Amino acid sequence: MSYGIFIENDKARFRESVTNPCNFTMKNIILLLLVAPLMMAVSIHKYYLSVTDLNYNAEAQSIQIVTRIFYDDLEAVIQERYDTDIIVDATSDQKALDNYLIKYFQKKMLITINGEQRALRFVGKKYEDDFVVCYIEVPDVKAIKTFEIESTVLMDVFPDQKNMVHTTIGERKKSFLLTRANAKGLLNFTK
Amino acid sequence: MLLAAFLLLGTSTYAQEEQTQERPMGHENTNKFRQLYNEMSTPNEYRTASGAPGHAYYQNTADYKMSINLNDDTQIIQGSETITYTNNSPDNLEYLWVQLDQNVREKNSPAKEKNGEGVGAVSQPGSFVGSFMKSEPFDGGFKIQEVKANGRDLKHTINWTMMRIDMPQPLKAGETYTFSIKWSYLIPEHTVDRARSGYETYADGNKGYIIAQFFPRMAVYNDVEGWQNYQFWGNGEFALPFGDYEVDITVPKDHLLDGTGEITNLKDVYSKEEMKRWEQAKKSYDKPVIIRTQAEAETLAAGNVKATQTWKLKAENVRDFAFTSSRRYIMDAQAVKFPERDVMAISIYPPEGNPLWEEYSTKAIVQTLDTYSKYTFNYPYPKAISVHAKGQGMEYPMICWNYGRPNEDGTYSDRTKFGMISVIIHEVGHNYFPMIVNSDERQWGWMDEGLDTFMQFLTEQEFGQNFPDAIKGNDAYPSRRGAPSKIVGYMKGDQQYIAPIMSNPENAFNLGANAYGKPATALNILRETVMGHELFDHAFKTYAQRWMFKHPSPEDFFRTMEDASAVDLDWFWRGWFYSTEFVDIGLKEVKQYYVTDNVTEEGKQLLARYGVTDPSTIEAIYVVDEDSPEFTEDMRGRDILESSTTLKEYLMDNFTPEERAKINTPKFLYKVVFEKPGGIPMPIIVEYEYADGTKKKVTYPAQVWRKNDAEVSKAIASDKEIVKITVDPDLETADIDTDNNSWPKAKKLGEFDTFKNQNKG
Repeated sequence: MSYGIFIENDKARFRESVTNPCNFTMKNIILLLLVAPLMMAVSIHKYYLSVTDLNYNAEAQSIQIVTRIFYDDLEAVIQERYDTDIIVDATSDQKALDNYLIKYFQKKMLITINGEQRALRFVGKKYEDDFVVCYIEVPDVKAIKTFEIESTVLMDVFPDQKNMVHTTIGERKKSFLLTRANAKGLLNFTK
Repeated sequence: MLLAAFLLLGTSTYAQEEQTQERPMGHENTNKFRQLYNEMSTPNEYRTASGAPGHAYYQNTADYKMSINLNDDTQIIQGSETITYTNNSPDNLEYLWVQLDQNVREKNSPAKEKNGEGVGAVSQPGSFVGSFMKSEPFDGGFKIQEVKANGRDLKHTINWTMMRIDMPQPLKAGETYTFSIKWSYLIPEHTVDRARSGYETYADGNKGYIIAQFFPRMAVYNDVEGWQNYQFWGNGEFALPFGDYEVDITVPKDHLLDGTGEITNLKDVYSKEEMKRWEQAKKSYDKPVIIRTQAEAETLAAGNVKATQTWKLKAENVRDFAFTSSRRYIMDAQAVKFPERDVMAISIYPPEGNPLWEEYSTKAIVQTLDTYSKYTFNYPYPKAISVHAKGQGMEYPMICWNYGRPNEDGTYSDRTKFGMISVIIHEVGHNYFPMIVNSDERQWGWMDEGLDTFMQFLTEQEFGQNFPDAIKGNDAYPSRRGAPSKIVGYMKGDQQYIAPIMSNPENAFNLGANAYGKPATALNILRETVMGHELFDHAFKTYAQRWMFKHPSPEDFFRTMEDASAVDLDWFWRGWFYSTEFVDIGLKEVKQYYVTDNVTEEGKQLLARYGVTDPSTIEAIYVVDEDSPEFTEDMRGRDILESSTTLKEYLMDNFTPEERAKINTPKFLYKVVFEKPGGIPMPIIVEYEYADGTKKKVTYPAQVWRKNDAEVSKAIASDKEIVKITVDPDLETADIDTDNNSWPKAKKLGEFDTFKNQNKG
């Protein structure tokens, strides 16, 4: 059984514990990850899981990506990597936040089409319940022979993070559950 | 050799014959509307088929007298208790089971190994150390010092989180047994290890204690499970019998303490001034009175009194006991009037909670008591306390811990505010489910979490109506769960990672959606779309009142909801609760028909099957659609009576002119074919839009699917031309794919393009 293939491995915990940056020393994360499942929580549970819908729009010649990430997970990552003071919500400096997000996604969501790694265009984001919904695009995609997505989003802070990616390319629908041990999803349209 | 070849030939011939026959195999009853006889337990004298407690229903009780000492220097609790257990069952019990839930945190707890793990291809050094180079674990768990009855040691066996007490003689039906236990344990720091109870260390070094699962507790013995001795693995919460509690708790003298039950020595533990304010609060029905102010709490926090004092609490008919204690606590309280009693709504919080907590905590408690009482029963306990504890959301009788902490400068986001109000409503609401309607959380998380989250949704919405200023910027209270559209993402997810609601909490994948969101949404849909408010509310209240202060099983809920409403819901429970099926209903085809007197080929063939070889011998009306060979363009727009002399003459021969004037002659005839790719049968809610711009909403009952689970058609005779048909126009059913919900097929923008268009320029 590879590490964290099962969602039940996901460590439930509270939201608030991660919104405070000083909570996120590495030691605490380890403790959290180790001990969380036995003591876990209580009334409001959550899981290290992001959900991404990825569609190829042939007419627009673009790959359109909608990704939902728990805002507090994203906040923990952005704070730890870039800016300990930034809050991921509508009250903070959206431009600065978007810049961090662009930087982060470029690094952590790698899309390779026909053997060539492609640049992402960050279209925007919105806040929805517990999620930040990010809209990302790969423009100028004329035809897809092979497609590869490698998503290690949030895995730098949450080793148990799982990224569910639902792809629709042409008639083909395929879902990938990407984990640290297996972070790549591949599709071949030439066969 | 020859023989073998012959045999081979023989079998292959036989197989071919089998194939050419193509007679489908028979099958058992797979109808989605069949009753749940196989899934549900057989009714009996303890639990009736109506869902009510039966004439022989019983429940055992456990009364506790406890003495607890909390050491603020060592964080050790030393306790002793005398348990009086009454066996109201008709069975003789050879042994008793006591729960030791703290043992989930003992050094070698199997719960630490309950999940699969592996070795990642890449690891951060820290995570590698955490996984493979472990330090000494926390020394948690109960240290049982003695178990005694009548002055003698009692034989007992500890199996992890359970302890079996072997009595000298079996406890006979109707008899009572008294024994005592002494124990201690190290309190965990809940902000670090995510425990449901423990302490938090504030910046000034003081501690806030939120203490629960702190004493060995009797397990439930009943007709459903025998002894509920499923171990405490961490996810499935608690199953506990009712009883009366007398608890003495000794803490530092400068602490403010409160807990389950009434404080019987208030005058010893409150200052004169606090006593005066408490008396004021008991008469303050419109706003809270501050019992201990922030300034007073901060003054006390600066000291560190070593002397102790004992708080005496007494609670009747509760299934558990919890308390909180700290020298940093602020407290406010207000009275809530019920016909039977006044209830005190109390909030306790350190200065860290302000200004949010003094503004909203007690308001949220009062709203919860009001709304829940309206839909279930009047709150039967004397108080309801909301305690502020970082990162917590956990319920106990009359008291609960809740998160929601402003930033250090006192500012807070809407998310913190609504998160705090919602968690208070949720946890105070747990007083009803499962503290009073005492379901078995160890087996069925959804029975309390699902019902409570459903009630939470109703309460949040009423809170929004009553406090418009609190929700400024929103049309309604922004509830996270309850609306059908919010569960779609979960229900359309990967089936490999979804479990039915009817699963043990340990075996569910995403417990938040599984035991909270989905059942709450299902009940909301039942109320709004399937049953209607009146029938649902009566049945739901009947369930709550039948089972208040009792132990219901899932069947008791399912059966009562049907029994009190005369709505058969087996299909609904099957789809929503017993399976991982989802809702997807769409439009497959819409066909318009035209009436004619001329014999059509299709009509001719059909009549021939019934032995009519010459159609001219019978009076009949035929229809054609646009694809029929008999269709001609002039049929469009022609009145039905104009198109069919047969029909016109039939009307004239059989009805008087007066009667004919009342008969509605449609101008348009359609067949609408609905498809159901989803497994759950649901009512088909359809909006028909006509050429003149008017709209009509029609609901076909879910039973329309009972003879064909995949497809069903409806014939529509209409005065007006239909230009648009939409299935589930108001998104009431959690339909996971709305691409097939309209005719003509709308070219719908995806979520991405919709966002992009909205955010252009």
